[in-house]
Amino acid sequence: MGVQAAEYVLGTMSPEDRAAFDARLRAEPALVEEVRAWEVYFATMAEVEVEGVVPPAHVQRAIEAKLFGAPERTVNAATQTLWERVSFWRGAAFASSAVAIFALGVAVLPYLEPGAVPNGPTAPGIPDGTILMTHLIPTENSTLGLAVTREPSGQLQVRRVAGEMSAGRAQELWLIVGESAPLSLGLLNEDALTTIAPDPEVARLFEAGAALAISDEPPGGSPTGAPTGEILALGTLVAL
Amino acid sequence: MACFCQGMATPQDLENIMARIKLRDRAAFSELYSATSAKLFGVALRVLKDRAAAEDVLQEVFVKIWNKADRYAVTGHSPMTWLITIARNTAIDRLRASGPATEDVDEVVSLAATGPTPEQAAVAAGEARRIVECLDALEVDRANAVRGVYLEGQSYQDMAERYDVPLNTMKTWLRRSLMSLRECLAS
Repeated sequence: MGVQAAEYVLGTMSPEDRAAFDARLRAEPALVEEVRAWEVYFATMAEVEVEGVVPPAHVQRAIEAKLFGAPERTVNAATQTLWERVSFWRGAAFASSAVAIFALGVAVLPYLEPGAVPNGPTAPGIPDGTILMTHLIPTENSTLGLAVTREPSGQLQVRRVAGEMSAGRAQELWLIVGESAPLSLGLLNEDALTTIAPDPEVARLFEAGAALAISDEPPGGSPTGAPTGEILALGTLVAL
Repeated sequence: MACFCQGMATPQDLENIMARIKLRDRAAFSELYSATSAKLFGVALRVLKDRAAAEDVLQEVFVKIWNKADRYAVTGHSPMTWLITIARNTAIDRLRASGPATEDVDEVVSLAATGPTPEQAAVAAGEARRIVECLDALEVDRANAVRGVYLEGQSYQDMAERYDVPLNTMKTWLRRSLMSLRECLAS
């Protein structure tokens, strides 16, 4: 084993010597073996002599975000984040609901299809003709605000009243009932108004007090079935 | 189930994890992080002596691990040797941000090593620990100079100042230390 190979591994050669050694490496497999042997020795020295230090948790998150993009960084963490945010924003949203009903009722009601209110087939558990609505208020760092009404037929009218779509991203609407995991209701249109007709088994889950949330997602929506991005807006359904 | 608690993974566990990472298994990547990030962070901290810089380097190291996983087997190294070599070189490059990169030998030569069998690798790992005994056999200053160059990225100039000797004397001094090490390791 040569000393030059050790110096190469240590990185103490001058740039000229290093370039010359690189040329030799290409021609002499035995020299590559010497370099590898010194790598083993010095790395073993470090393994034995250097104490481990646990890095802060954000480093791993940053690595996974960098390699796999935000959506793939652990679904559980994203869901947890959602729940932390939901419990915080739910309070805020509920407090503003009374104001929202008053302020938005005027703005939203004219968009409801005439005749749909009293007559549509009613989902079980909700008195005939009940309209549920909420104003989804923007979370911190977001400007997105939406008015959502759920007609007795189960159909949702989602109207963007503030903020807009981010280029290259999607906005997904979620229903959160009690402590259950968020259920996707679909993606919002670019247009101001999105009409969503949830499947009957989802439609019957709507109740006063359930939360609706919008999350930021990659195009096509969450690839995991759970919110993966930031919660942009959140509100609690109330009976109108 | 093997425990992938920090520091508890055996070399064989790590080999299996590396094989899965090569197949783009993200769970394996997460296990590797749990098993090795503390040691690699320790190495980066030792070189850089700055937490924020070491955190950046640790990110860079794991991105390289994922991106170069298919080249791991070519080196014939054990997983820890490969990982520590990447961590140390990345930290040193950061330290000498303006200087020449300490590129991996793999960047220079792509030819496969006549790879050792796992058994040979295990023997080699045991023998490799002799480096610590052989360092102890050197005079303290000389052993510390070798450690200083590998783990703290000191240049000949740095060391010449630290030990207050002329630059050429320092070069001769380190080379003699490396020769002594080589003899000890070969015996």
